[in-house]
Amino acid sequence: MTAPNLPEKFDYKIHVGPSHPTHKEPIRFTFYLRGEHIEKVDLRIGHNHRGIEKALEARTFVQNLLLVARLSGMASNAHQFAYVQNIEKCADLYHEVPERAHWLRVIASELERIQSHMLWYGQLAHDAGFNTLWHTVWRDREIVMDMLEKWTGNRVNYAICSFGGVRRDLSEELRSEFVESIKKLRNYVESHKKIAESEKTYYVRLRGVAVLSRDDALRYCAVGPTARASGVSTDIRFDDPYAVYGELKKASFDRVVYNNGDVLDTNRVRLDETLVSCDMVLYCLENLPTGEYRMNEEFPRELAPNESIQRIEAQRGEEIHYVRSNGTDKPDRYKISTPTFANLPALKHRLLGCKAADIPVAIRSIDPCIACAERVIIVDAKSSKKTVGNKDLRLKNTMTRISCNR
Amino acid sequence: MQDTTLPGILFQFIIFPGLLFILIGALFVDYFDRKMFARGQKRYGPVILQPIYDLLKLLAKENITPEGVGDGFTLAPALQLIIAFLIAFFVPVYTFSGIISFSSDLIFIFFLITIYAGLIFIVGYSSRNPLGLMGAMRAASAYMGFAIPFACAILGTVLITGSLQISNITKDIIPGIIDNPVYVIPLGVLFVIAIVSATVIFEEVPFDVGHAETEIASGWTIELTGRSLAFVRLGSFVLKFALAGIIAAVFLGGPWGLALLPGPQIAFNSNLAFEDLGMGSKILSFIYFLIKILVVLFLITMMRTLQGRIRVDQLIRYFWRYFLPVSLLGLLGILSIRIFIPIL
Repeated sequence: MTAPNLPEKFDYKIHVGPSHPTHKEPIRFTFYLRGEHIEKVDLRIGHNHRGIEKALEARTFVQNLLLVARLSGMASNAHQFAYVQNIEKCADLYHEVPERAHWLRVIASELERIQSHMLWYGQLAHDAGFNTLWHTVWRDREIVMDMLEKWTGNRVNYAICSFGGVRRDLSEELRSEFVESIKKLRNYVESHKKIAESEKTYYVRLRGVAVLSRDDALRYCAVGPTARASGVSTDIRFDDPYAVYGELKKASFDRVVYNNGDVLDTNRVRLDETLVSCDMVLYCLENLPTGEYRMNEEFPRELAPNESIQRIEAQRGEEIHYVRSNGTDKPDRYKISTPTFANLPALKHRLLGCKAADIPVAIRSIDPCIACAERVIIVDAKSSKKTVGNKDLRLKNTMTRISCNR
Repeated sequence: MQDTTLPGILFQFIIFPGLLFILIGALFVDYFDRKMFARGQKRYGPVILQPIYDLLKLLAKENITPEGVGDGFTLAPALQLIIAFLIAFFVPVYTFSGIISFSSDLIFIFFLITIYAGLIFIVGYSSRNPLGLMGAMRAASAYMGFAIPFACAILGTVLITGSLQISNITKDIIPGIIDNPVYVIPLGVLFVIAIVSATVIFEEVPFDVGHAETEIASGWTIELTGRSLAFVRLGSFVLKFALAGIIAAVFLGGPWGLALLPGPQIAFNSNLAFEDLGMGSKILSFIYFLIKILVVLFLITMMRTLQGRIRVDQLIRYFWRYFLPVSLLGLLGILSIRIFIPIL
């Protein structure tokens, strides 16, 4: 496994991935180690490229509703949420979406955030060898999975968002049941937080590991919980409110920010965000307006030439959807920027100086979703090829960063 | 050893309390560990025959030897199993002495444990895999950390009983504590240190640095398959059974219990020969042994249920910075009790 022309500075190199016990998704890291210390990291993506953007352009808008939900297993609703809002804006029908639909979409979105964060911090405990916390968390996560299943009929890929509203209404019985479940779940999450903070072996394992300073987080364009753990106060839900997040912001919900930038703080951010999301769902359920849950008139199949962009805060961070229509029932161009890809440069940076034992938790810290990230074309910064029509897209900057690093 | 006829000796070595009993005990140890672990996580856990199924399945699998591995790769797993069995022969099961017992056999046990740890390094090193090598290095470093506190902890019982022979310690430890109950304080500390240190050689979770499944993909066992892996796994179960048995013997008195005391007049007089006791007493002693070993195993399992894995540098730091001084203080405590209490 050792390369013949390995520089003398390194003792040996190890590959983590594309297939490794800790990472179920295909990404390959090559670590050049000196003893247990990481001296250099190479990372390679591209094992799972599915050509989804091209596939989106080949299908109608309605068909894409299903395809876009399959970008990622964990964030299926987030992608669909962004997609439907994007298409509604592109069709100039966003203002006709009933109020109740927005609230229901936010409930689905926050429930998904809860289940995704719980999966994440359970998985982190497993990576750190704390299997009991892992099993406890995943057992309690079944509550939110059951809620989603009762409402949408599916545990993953719930496909609840639809053009002009949501697919299924939330009945009054289900609403009151949800209130009880979410209160129970909140207590469980609080106990998880207590365990994660009080168990010494777990605490020392995460503290000071893979530190990403605030400057580095800004420099490498980190997004989402990764950035918030480093003290960057960014959360699209509150920075650029969409759906009903503006009202939630008025109801004094706020972003969770920690300052140390290590894995411990990343864990804290996600634990606290889970609690905040529980409160948000509770607030939404209690203030759910009555009325229609979808538009009365039919949503047009063909969209007039237009373009639109939608940012949302998915579980992993900022997600950007861009669409350009050309008068047919298929998008002319559809571009998706995912948070995992935006966080990869920061991850590469923070892995340097870690110990080999910290590799799993450090990689886990950005919550990598390789299936999401595998659609990008990496362009050379110098030739500056146009990848997306809109120059404001942050994706381009991120891609430039990666190519600079290389 | 009581029966000196040839069939008696063969029975003792092969059936009870020899190979067959140790094998069953080791498989039960695996079952018990996994079941308790699962119940601690509110899972159901395996069925009682699961360790046997696992072992048979592994034995039936193809044994793949990668190209370019050293000789140790094929030899060391079997040697590990043999050494683990050898240690298990010293465990007192229903009498005060195991099948093998001689003067200063405790030193020999430490020697065997060192060989076992050395074999871990040899397997990892000869597998010629970076992860295997890393696991081997970590296991060797961890051994450097745990060996001295572990030896110190066991030596506490030696100081109380005045003997390096396991059978004598087993016989005298509880009467010694009853004689002088103040011993409970330092001995309790040393017992905890012995349990914690033993977890390192068992490669259980807080200290399974050499194995670390999620970090280095099973470390030193990464290239092992089929029979070799079965040997290594079985060897670790046997070692767990043996060391838990020895800890139970030297700290908790192993088979020592009320059944060994036909009358109160011999309660603190250990001159009574074992042959004088009836079959009923022997069975009761065996039950005492089982209870005590299960207590030790339960504590070890709870260690891994309630904690996460720490890094190898943290492991060594904890052992050298905290456990070693504390174990030396424990020894000092026992010594001062032994010297000053009779004077008072």
